Amino acid sequence: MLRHVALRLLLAVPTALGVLVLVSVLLHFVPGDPVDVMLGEGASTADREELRRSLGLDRTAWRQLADFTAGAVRGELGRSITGGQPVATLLRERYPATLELTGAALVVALAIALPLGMLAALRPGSLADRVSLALATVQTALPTFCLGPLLILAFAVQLPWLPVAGRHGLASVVLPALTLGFGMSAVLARHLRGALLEALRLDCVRTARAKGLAPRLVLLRHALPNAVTATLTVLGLQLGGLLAGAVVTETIFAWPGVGRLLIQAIGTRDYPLVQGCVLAIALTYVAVNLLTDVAQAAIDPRLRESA
Amino acid sequence: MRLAVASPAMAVATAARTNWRVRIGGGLLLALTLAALLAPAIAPHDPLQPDLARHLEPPSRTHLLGTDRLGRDVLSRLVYGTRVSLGVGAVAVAGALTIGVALGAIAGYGRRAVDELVMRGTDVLLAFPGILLAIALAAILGPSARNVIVALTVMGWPAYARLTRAEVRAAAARDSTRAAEALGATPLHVATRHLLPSARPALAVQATFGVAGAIVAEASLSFLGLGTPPPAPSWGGMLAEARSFLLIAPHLVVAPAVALGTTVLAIHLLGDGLRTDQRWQRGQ
Amino acid sequence: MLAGLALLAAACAPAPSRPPGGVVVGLDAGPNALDPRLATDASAALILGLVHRGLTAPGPDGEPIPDLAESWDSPDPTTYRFVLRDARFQDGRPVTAADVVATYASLVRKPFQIQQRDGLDLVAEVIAEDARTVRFTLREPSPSFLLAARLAILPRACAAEPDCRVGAGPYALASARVDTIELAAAPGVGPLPAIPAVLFVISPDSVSRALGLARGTIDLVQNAVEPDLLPWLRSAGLEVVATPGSTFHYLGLNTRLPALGDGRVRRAIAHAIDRAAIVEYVLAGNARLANGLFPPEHWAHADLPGPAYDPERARALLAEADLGTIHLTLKTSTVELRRRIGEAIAAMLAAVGIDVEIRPLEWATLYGDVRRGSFDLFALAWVGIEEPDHYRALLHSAMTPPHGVNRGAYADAEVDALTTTARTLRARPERRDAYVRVAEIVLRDVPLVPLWWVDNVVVMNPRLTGFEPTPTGDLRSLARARWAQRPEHGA
Repeated sequence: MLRHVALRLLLAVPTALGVLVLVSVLLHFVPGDPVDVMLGEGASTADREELRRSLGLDRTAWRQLADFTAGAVRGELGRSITGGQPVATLLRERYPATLELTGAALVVALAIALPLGMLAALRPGSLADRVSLALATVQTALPTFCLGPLLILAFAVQLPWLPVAGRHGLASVVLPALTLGFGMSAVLARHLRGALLEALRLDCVRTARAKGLAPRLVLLRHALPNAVTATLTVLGLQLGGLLAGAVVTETIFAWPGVGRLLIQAIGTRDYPLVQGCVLAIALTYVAVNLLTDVAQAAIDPRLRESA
Repeated sequence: MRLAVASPAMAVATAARTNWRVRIGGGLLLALTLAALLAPAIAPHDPLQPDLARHLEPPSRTHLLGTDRLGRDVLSRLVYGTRVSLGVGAVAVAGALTIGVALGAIAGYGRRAVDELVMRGTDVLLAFPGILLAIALAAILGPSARNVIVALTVMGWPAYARLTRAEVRAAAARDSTRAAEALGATPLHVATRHLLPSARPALAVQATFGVAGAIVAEASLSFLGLGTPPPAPSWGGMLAEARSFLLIAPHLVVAPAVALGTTVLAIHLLGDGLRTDQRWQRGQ
Repeated sequence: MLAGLALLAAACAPAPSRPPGGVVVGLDAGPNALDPRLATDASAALILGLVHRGLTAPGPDGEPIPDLAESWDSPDPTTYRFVLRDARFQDGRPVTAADVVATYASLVRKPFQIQQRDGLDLVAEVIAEDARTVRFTLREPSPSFLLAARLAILPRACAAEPDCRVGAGPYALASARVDTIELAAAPGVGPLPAIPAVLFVISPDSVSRALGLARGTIDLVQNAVEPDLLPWLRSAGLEVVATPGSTFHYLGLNTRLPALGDGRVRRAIAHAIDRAAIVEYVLAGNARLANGLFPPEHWAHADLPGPAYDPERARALLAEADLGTIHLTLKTSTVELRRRIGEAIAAMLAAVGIDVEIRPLEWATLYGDVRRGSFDLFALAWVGIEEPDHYRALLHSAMTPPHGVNRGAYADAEVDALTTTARTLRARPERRDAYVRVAEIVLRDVPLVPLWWVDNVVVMNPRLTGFEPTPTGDLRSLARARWAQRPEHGA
């Protein structure tokens, strides 16, 4: 088991490095001189030279890459142009908010998907099954930035205790979590249903049923654990969607997380901060994928064989 | 090239005859494409002409879906918006397909070293969740339709590369391929005649869903202010503008959301139909 | 488990609870800084207006009135002597001349020296004659100095710090978080205000602000409500008060560009914009068409007709200039209202054949670009300009940044002469004539397009009484306001 974890970790490192390299290279895609774009034409030569030096643009490409990577590993990601604070500090301030939002969205998604998926699998073709299908269809048609304003429209006046924007206590995370989690829940429900149906056909489950165990118990004790591994993969992929979707959701609901920081940094052409945010979100995704890999292997011994 | 375009169209038409999903989805999509192409003829008003005195009006006889914050006709903007959405979506997927298929074929059929390189490349690009990479690229390059296409192409090709590579590797092991190689066919000939055609059905399905994804991605980018800049009508941009007036003009939010949802659903319906259609999957 | 931890974190996140008896003010953006020497935006001005006091303050008609200074005299045109009144800072210490000297001395050091300060650029030395008297010596006579002396006075030790937050105003800064800034009535500074606390909530979403007002979680929003929402808010029971304001909105033009260097093109732009339509339909009538920097209630107001809406004339002028299709970019802020106005203007210019691309930019970026001259057209406003000497900083050919705010590099010999001599004139009627002539030239030659003077629109809780908006839109009268009956707590 430990060997599997170590192997996974080892394989994740080149990907993480690749992400670092790509992010550090982003600055070079700026049309024109990035320093000019960030400070505007007409900035004093002294200011421009200082910025160029602090960004490392006066060094060779390889050196810049090495410096950026070394700095990132140490936790130093440069300084924000607007305000001068270290990017790492800003990220640390905003990160908990994003974690809170994605965590709550995950709870929402699971709360909808688990019962729905199980019901749909227990009674294929029934109302629950059709509802889960309809939900999945609606989810594809309503991306986050559509759903958010529609939810605000629906609940803003009717339920006055739901704040419409900002992060102020428990009630304010409801609408953003619903918006973000809804999309994930539909896909998750369908996958759970499929995996459960597969699991229900397994021999061990058939035996349990033949022995006269109640269908619900069969589901919970035998089918579900088998279905979980398949669903975990989907969960891992969907969490990536959550992270990316958080950028839009945080913008809609003025949620002070890393996603909104990214959009604000883009607006102020604060490219070091943009790089920091993109890096933070991408590396989180790599970590999440690693965790789901390990979790799957922990649950299902069969997976440990294939590296 | 002619082969690549003509026969899928015919195959879709054949599938449409028996498969209701392909029929309805494809039909809707056709209607939307026509709307995009014939926009100047269909749209009742100029989508760019403001009429300040009549701003934020609810739906009426002259303005079937009401007017927006500058008094522009919402219906006309929706119709012209199909051009942006479908145009950007189609071109982005075309680009991603071209690059992805080429690289995937090389990876699947070429040398091991090249394969590793391409696969690591896709690993890194796929390590960026959702549209994060597209956001970063669009932010760096600046807001314009062209930059959105570039960003979505970069974001999209890894998926097609992986798919092509898998199909190519499977096809390369087949006897017919081995025979052709033994007869001295050039790698290019082998690739185009023996390997790639088997990938076509799966690629087409993937590309169909890819267009839907690209349309949603373009709308998301425009919503965030990183896509097609104003005053060009983009559904995402229209939604972003509508947010401030949610309390007094909800129709401004509902209209582009419905347009987007319908388009995406139509495409998904088509893709679902193609995916489950037996004859399509067999590559006829 | 992660989800559970997240929820726990959520439960611990603080809610902006209304301070008992306090007033909640909604802002559309956070202040760029809380040190008055660094603050440049409207939010900072609103907050710091309650926290600080200067030697003088702008009076109702634009003339300076005594604030921390009890009186002053000017023995000669370049000398001013202020006598301080008996006042205290929020930390309890008395306001002395040494504090004044320290505050003004800090302005020449980094990071404060970058600010453009109308009227203070000519201060040569500041000396404390005794504990209560300060003498300013200017390099040249400066008519705008007295008004500029409203700069916040900071305690001596604090003035040496890069971020000083202690002032002599009625409210002290109690806390400054990501989304909220709380002020608490400072005891010992002066008569205790009836409102014990003011909570500024940064609510960048306009729907959120409107809902906050409707639900009672926000008591007051000034100049940050969509004009189209005003009827809805009135029907929700809120009081909407619009008073004529002096905030001057205008279109800046970069005369360095070949197209904009041609006066005919600039005049064409002025004639192409239907300002009345924008005021009536986009601003819901809450503005007055402008013809210069100063509105009718100001002594330097020029009674001249503003640019007429005449698209035919605009086209004729452009044809005469014969420059083909002109492509320009218009930079505005990202605030929805400004963006909308920018798009409306762009459409009007397109109608006469000028192709305009809108570039909405975040405030800091916009301000930076404008200050550096990196623009074709920009839409901004001058807030709180009371002294017509500002025309000199705005239009004199030598006043390009960093010396002044002639960002479009306009140059006209007559304007140069008028603005220079008007500085030395002391009689009001003569000065007025000079500035009226300047306004005339501005209307004829269009170095900038005057748009309108925006009313101050305040949406507030009807139970809040005694609050009077000022023409410059500050919140000072909150210190004299009170609740008519006990407010409900929370929403």
